[in-house]
Amino acid sequence: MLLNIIAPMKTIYGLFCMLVFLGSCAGTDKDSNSSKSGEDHTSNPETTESVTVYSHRHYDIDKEIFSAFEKETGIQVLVKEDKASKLIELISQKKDAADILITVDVARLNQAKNKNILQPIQSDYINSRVPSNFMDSDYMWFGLTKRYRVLAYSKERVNPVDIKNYTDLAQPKWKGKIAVRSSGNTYNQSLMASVIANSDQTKAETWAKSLVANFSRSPKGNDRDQVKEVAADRADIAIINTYYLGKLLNSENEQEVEAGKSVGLIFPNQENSGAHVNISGIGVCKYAPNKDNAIQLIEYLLSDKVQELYSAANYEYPIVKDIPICDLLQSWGSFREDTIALEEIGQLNTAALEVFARAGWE
Amino acid sequence: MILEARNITKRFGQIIALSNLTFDMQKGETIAILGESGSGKTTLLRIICGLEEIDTGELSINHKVLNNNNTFLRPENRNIGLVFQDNALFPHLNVFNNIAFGVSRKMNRFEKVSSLMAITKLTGLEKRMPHELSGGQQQRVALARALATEPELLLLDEPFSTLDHSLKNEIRSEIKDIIKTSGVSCIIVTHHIDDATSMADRIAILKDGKLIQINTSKIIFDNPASEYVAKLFGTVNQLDGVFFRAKDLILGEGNRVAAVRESYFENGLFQTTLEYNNQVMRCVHSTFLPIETKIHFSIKKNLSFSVK
Amino acid sequence: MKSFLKTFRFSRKGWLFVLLLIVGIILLPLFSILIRAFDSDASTWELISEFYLSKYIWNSIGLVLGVSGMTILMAVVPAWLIANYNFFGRKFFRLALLLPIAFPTYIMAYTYTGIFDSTGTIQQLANILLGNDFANAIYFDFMTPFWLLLILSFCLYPYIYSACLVSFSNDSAQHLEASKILGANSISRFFKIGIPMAKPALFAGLFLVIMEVLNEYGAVQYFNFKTFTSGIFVAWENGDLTSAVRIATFLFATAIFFLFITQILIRKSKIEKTGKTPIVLEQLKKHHNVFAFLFCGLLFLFAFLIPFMQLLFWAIATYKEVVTFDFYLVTWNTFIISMVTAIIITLISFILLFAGNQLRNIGGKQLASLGILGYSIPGAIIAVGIIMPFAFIDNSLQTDWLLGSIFGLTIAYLIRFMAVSYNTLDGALKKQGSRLDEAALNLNTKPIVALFKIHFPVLRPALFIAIILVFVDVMKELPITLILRPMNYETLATEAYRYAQTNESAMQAAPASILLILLGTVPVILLHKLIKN
Repeated sequence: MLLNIIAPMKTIYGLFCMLVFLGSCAGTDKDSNSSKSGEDHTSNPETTESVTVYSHRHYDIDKEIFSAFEKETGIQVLVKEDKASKLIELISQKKDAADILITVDVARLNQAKNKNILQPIQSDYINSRVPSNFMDSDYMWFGLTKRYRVLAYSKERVNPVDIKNYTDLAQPKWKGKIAVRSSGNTYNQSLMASVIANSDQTKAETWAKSLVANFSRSPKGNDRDQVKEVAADRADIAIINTYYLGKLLNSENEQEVEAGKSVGLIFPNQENSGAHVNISGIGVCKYAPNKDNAIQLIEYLLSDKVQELYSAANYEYPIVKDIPICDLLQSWGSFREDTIALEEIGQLNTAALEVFARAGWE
Repeated sequence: MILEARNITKRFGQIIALSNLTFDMQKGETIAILGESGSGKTTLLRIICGLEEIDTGELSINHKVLNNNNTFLRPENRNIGLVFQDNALFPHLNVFNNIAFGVSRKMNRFEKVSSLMAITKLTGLEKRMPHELSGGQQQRVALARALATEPELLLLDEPFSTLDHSLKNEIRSEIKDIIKTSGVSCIIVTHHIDDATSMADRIAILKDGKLIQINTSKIIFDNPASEYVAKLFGTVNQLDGVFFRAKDLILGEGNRVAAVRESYFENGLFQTTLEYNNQVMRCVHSTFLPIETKIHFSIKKNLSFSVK
Repeated sequence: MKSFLKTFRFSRKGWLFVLLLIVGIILLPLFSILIRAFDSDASTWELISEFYLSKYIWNSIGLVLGVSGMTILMAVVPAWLIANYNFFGRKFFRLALLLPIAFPTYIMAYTYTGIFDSTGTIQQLANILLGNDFANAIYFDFMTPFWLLLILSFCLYPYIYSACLVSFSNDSAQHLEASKILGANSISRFFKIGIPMAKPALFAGLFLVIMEVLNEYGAVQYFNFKTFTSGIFVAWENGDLTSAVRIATFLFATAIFFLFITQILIRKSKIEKTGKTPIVLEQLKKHHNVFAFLFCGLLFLFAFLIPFMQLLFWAIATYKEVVTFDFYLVTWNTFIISMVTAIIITLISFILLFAGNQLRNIGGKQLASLGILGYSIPGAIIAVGIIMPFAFIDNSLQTDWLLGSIFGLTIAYLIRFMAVSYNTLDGALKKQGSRLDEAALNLNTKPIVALFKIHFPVLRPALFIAIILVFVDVMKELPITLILRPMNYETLATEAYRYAQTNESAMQAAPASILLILLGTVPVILLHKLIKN
């Protein structure tokens, strides 16, 4: 009787593992005839070249880029997408689990560095492509794309000359007019870190307190939702990342497009430090089993072609200088960006959290 | 007349559960409804208390219509007591609260319940939970709970079926006492002839949804309406197409001769089996008859059935 | 092999070993978390304890109480109506009201926001049909704690509804009739008999609801409602895993508190049940009929039909760009992993239950019930707790057997969802009464084969129900799946999450969401068939 139960169970489990196995191959492998499973890539590196990527970027375009890389180089890209915090924990427990870590902001890269899970990479090509303020001084991580945290204002109700700097958001005239998401969000944290970096923590706290008093509602939702708040006349100014406006303007929902059209962008701090910029960045893991492939992939991601694609498909700004950007980004014009070393922003993350807590920014 | 049932018919889909049932019941009377499972006796009970509606016919209590084509009085408004087969005591309420459940708040609940508990010999068990009671106690709680609403009619569904055989007689007489003391009219549904004969003034026999006979047990015994009814009330012999009761088979006289097949002692008499013309008869006899003894017999009284 | 099994008798030591092994595996991540809470590198702990901790505590408790009240209301009223009365649409609602259980809470939250926000369906319709002024006039802020509470309740009430429906229509049918005859009207029957007798089922369902609320993080994070889970994720995202783990211990303590409360409530309300007669439905007339129809109809409309239709429209609009070859594979992945894990988890909880029964005289039962503690820990924390020991094993054996393998993922699911199948089987076994327990006690003298011979058939319906419940849970699970899945492995839940979270597009998440929900409704329909019998 037991045997009757266990025997089919075994078959089912075997079948199931096989299906999973097939699944994981077919996920990226449909063009190559490799039969390697995702699980034993490290044990047989000599038979199939591969690179394991842990990524916080969940965009469709990344999948396309990776499969293009596979085609060009024959190196199989194995991807696991999750929150950076979880990926970092996994790598710090199982050091050789991944070759590459990709995050969507600088603070997480800094965390990875502090957790001692990254290794320095000396590549002349990379150094020539990534401006020095967008890479780690110890060459542990490098920027891939730039995203600006800017102000989306209601074209109907706001005259863009009225607001020039992030600090202006604290002016009493914007009482009940500012929409922004929660302080748990990493983009806000890095913005706050840059405010601290450009002044000091006490001033940042005073600023944050006044800003909180200007909120149209207690922070919630995502960046898109903040623009919608402005479009719905519930707020006049939203603090958002640039590419979300791009996504809104290219939404399948007509109303979202309308909402996107109803706002204009202000790149703040043009007359002083420049607009706050954050990066999506990449680093090679300390015990990467496929270090060479990892470097090859990073170099590929910094190539003109891919850099252009980031802007065209995902409305991000290329990290490499003088790469053509898509029409939409061009329409937002050229502007001055903050040149502070992002490393510093990453290190000020904890200070930013303290400011948020003391200012009561939910 | 406390209860009047006129031409009651009830169907469940294709199955006719009750067919054209008519009977009356006097105030203070106890009627037993006797039938095997599937005879419709439980359906009849559920119709009387309002848990089922009748399809055609009319049911009234004290000349007040409970249920006919136009009227349906909801069970909560009928003032009929029902003791369920397995008592259906509320498991989350103690004995006192179980009994008090149906007692109106306007009445003096404590006195009412206390006096009922005294009658049903439950005094002292107020705080017990139902599962802490013996089978007989549970039954008495169920009875007290049903009586607490002072019903015009009390219904008992298979009241003793869950009890041990040894307890049964004792509890049966206790409950009979309680019913008679309270003076309530009562219908007992059962498939045990002993329950019916010991408790009821009259017995109604139900088979396949039809009421075959309703009368006192003595009359039914002597003049059963059908072979089925006759057999319910005791051994029936059949000889060359003639039916008669075992007590009417007289041994030692007459001109036919039977051979003894079996004889054993039970309840003070010898249970005797005879064979005549390859037909078997049973009777009781005062003395032991060895097997193969030839003995004369006669039949004192035949049974004649009005219903085939 | 067969003859070996026949002669193989499980000694008490054998049972003890099995019991300790299973419970040990389940408690493993718990210990590894508790140990971590004492690490000294909690860089943001001071901030958290000064500014946020009390907020986390009160918001979590408030949300638990609010959702508890709301789900009880949403569940008990229709269950009562459907169990006792015949009204227009009754048969349909009986099943339909179970369906929202297939809705993951975060998808419900995104969908409803997409309906109510300023570019949402309501505003679009109002604009077209009634003009801009009207649209502006009816606009309101949807992302408030009240709506969060309502959304969670929509997804979670079926846990209580299904439990109460069974109780009302089977267990207490005769007692309801008895009270009817004793003159109780429908309202006093409901309060005096229906509810008290359904309490054990109600509290058992409520326990599941409370655990789901405490572990929910997608919707609370989106609404920025500061509960333990959102606090855990923020702390962790900020690179302070130690603080995250400390918050998790508070969450764990709260979960244990509620576990304790519900267990006491269940024990106190525990009643000896008799009789299993089906209830006779009473036909509702006129306005009562309308009321019953409206209550069930509106609940179904808001808890399922509206969000489902919204997702369907979005899916139609976006499927062309989202649905690729991979998508079918992803659906298949989701089905097969949920199914197989559900079966494995149910079998293991079955073994745990009997190991506990075997050793009841030395506290085996209590030991076995520790196995349900995993349910009170958020998936992400289980993931943290499991990564360390798994990595240790993998590193020392130089393998990839556990981390990033289906095997490791299955173990993590086992830890997380053991309670679901264990409680279902335990409840069914208790219903069977002591007869089976006694039979089980004698099992140590019999071949282990007998265990399956005797108990499998008796518990078959409960086993199916357990498999279905675990299936639906595994299918919806997100944080464990994300981190412990193999490379290049997606399920419908991770696909939906990818679009909804990072792309901030509920529309693009719709095709995966709709498939996920459809995949969940199939077992729910089976479940309905099972509880009907």
